[in-house]
Amino acid sequence: MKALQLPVASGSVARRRWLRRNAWPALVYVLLAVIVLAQRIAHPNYGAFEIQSAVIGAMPFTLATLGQTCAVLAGGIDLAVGTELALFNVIAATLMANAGFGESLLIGLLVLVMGFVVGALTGAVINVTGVPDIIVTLATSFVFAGVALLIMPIAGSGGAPTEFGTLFTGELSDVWPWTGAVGSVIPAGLLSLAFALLVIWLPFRRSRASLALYALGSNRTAAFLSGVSVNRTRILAYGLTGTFAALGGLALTGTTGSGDPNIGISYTLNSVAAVVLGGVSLTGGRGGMAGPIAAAFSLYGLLILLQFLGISVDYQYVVQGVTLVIVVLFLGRLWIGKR
Amino acid sequence: MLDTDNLLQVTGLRKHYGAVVALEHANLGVRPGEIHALLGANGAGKSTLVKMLTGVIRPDSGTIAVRGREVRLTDPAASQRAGLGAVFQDPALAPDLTLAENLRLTRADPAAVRRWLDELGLQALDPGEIIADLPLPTLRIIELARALARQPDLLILDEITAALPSDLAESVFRVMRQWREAGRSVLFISHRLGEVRAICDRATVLRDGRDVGTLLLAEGGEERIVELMLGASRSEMQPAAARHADARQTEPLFRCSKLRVTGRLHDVSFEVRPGEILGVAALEGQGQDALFDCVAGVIRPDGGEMRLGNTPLALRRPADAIRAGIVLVPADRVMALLPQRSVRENIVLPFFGRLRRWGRVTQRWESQTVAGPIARLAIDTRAQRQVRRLSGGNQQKVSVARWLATGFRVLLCFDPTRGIDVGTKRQIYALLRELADQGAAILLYTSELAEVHLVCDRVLVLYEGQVVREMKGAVADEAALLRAAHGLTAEEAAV
Amino acid sequence: MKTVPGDRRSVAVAPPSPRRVQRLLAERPAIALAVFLLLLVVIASILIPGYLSLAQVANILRLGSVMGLLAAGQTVLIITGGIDLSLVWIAVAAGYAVSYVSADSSVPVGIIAALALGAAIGAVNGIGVGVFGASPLIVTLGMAGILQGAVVVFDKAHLANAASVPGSILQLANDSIVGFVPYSAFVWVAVAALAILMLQRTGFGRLIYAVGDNRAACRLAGIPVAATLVAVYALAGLISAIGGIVLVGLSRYANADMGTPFLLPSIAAVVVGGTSIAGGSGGYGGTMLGVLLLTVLDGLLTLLNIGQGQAPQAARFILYGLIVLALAWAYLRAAQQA
Repeated sequence: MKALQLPVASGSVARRRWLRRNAWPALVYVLLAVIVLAQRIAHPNYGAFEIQSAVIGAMPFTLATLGQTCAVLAGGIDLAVGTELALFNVIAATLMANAGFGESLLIGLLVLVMGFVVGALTGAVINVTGVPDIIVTLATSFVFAGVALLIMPIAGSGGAPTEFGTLFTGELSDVWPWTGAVGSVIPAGLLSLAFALLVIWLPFRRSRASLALYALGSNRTAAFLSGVSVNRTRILAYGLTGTFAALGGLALTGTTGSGDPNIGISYTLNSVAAVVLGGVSLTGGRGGMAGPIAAAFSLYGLLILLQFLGISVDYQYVVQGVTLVIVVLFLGRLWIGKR
Repeated sequence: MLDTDNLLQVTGLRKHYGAVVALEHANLGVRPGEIHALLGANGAGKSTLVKMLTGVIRPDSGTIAVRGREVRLTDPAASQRAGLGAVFQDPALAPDLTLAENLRLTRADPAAVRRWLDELGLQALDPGEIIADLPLPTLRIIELARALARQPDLLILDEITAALPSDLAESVFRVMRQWREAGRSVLFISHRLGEVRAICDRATVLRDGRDVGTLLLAEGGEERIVELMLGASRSEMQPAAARHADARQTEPLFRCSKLRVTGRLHDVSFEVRPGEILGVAALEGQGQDALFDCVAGVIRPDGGEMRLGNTPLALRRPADAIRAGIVLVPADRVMALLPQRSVRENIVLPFFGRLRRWGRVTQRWESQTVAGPIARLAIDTRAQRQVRRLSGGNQQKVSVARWLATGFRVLLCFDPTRGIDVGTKRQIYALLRELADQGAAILLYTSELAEVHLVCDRVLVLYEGQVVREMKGAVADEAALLRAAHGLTAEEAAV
Repeated sequence: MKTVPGDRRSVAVAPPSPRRVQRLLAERPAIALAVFLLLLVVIASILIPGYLSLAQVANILRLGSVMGLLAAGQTVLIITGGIDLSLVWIAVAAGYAVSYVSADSSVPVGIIAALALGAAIGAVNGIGVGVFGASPLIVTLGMAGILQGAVVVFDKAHLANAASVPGSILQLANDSIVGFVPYSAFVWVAVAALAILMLQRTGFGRLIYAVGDNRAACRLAGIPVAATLVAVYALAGLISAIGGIVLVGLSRYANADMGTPFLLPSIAAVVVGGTSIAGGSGGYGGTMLGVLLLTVLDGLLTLLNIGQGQAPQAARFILYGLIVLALAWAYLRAAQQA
């Protein structure tokens, strides 16, 4: 029998790999561009204010989506992402109520660490009990919702120092005056996204641990046989989910200046939608952050577009639902495969 | 044989799953600078032993010692640290990552892996390739290279040649010999006795969870090995009475001509008559999977035609084949059975494919339907509520019972006796003969070449997706089949 | 046989060892649940004087009927290895349908319209899952969104001329005979009996278990898997529509939020009842006990009035979560050791 034919040209290998990994996210960015374009057409005065509102509104949801992506990449899912976000929103708002700016930053850091711990505990529970992640995170979502209610029975309580709020609601030049004119049209809220990517995700992505996470989602048996510690990797994946959820909670504290223990569920469900739309396979192992970020902004942008078009805000659910179904049923099968 | 100079010494390994004994008391000794074969039928304990050596499962009792020092292999990483490197049957490469990423994941030295890949003939392999894009033989070689790059004392190769074309297999053998010359050892697990005899020094045979003998391959013959594996002389298996004469007179029941599946099956044509058992003999991956999948309606052929009687068949899914009376008993029980449901539920399952059966199901109807097949196959249903608790042999019987209950015209059996004990095998072969005598046409693929002549009227040998030989069952002895299965014509009698 | 730690579905597993209690737990979780329920009621009676009154029982049955009907569809779907996040919204939509259509024509027509709507929406879900092979989580998530939007829009459009719930439905949901057995409980029991009969004694019921246990084996055995799934999801939609009719009666007027409190609890009841999320096993009997358990627990917490303000709600959530987790773990261990 002849020897195996293997592709020789390294160029074609790299191209194939790029296509497989980046084609879908690229398409989502095109979708985002189309939506933004449509927004400009529908609302000719589209300017810095609209961009700012969009970022303010979308940021917590986007960060929740980042969290969900981590869990899904590792082959799992976290139905508690939304209530985790609510929990940390409430904790932050309670702690920051009478704090100064410097203190609020420290509190923010503390909340991020708490987020990791809570997420890691979720992963540990999944490991120890062997109960499927859907059920465990369903259960923990109840628990977190309850704890959030205990901490802040009345929505809208708590507070945050003005400077902290500016980090999320102001323009870049408010935070860093040296950015000058350019900075005055860039929303500061993007800083939290930049923080998430540059400080947390990208360094993680360069580490071996991230390969373990992808391997776990790609084929758990293969990962195990390769010597990957399934338990540790799972704890890490859910810990990251919790961290991003905490960051989202901080963003919500910054943008609203208060806490709301009730918001959980829709964040969770929509984060799954954004993850799928962003090209991450629900079975795990495939995808990255770029797609889901664009997907989250697209979904939010779609809502804004509807508002501009004068369509009642209530149709948003319908549109989101239809978009999700169409995307997953038709496009998903082409690129990603199904669960 | 306990030898403290052994590179690997396994003593008294034991593993029980409740009442099921996977390993009763296993000893194994591998000397430095040796290629040692581990042999045994499925269910003998081979895979359990290998899993313990690789840290996938832990023994209930017994010891494992490497270079005289006892080791506790708690997980695959520990096994690697102890100096054992393995190429598993299950893929150990994450399919969505590239080769380079997989290597980095396991802290493999890319340069060392590259050298071994070149040595094994894969110089053109780009480390940026995503694993899912690569063919299975390539993956095997990659895993071998990765294992070698770690410089293990003992290399454990679990059925590595199963998916390899002969030239790659040759490279592997060459490397194995190099390894031996360097004073290290290889534990070679394989079903292919020819290979084992060609490159191994000694062999240990497992049966029923114990080691039953260790032979020097220079002196022992295959006969002795098989004797040890079976625990009975092969001659005990009597050929079922074959009715060759009548078969020629009747019209063929099933016909296929020029069946083609791109890359797997080329121009396969044959016929099966009622009352005939047509065997298909082949080594792994020669197209038999594709052939059976086509006939059973699991996949659509890219070309060619199939007929039942005179009616052309257009099979788009298994349901179409079943409706035409063509039924499949797959090799993998996991594929065919509902693990959490009872034997009865499994047997009557196909009946519910028809809408009119979606209504009420009475105990009486069910009992009546399953009684015959259960009795005929002597299925042990005592106190087992879930089919997954049955032994492999009984599970296979349930698979067959299902079609006995619904009735069929053509029975496709894909390796029905793989991993089954001798007693059950006999029963299944006898049953197949009975069914044929009652007018069914049977297409049987078996990987146990030695058993072909016991039950088949005729045999087709598949090699690289084509039929290369057709023989009468009576003359299809293992040697002839092996030769043909390797693509050797009658003149090139090499082995 | 290839088993890896954490992968619990190998085909050949040892026969049960003589630990009868554990086996009992695994194969008849209903008994353990019933005992638990009894314990809960006893504790409640001790903590709250006069707890065990007819009015209380009526209340529990009233609330339980709605949750029970919603959890019925969910149970059947989870057995097939799927899940449905839109059932609650199908119920809400059905509630609107019965109110508005009854106002236009008559109550029987309204009921038929609601049921037909439920079945139709369910069938659409089933087509997504069965024909297109998409993940049930995603399809029903999308459908939930669509329905939520549709309901909210409809509601706003009809603020001025909102239809009221027909009298007979109000009676059905709120009144009782003999003083403590609500009519809705009869509906629940009737549906439950049919559901259990279907699951245990019909070919369709067999297919539900089969598809959840090993979908590939079903295909090989010639089972029309896609058609089965469409039918199952449609059935779940139909049952949820029944639940929606009772729900709108209980809520006394159709509003978009009436179903939300039941979404996660209906799934929780199924888990608590012992049906495995992996599919292929379980049943509705356990779910019924789970529903009663959760409803009793719920009521207990409200009555106990722990702390003030939102505290009982918080405690309810936390307890829900812990119970679901604990029971899921207990069932898993019992099934493994049996």
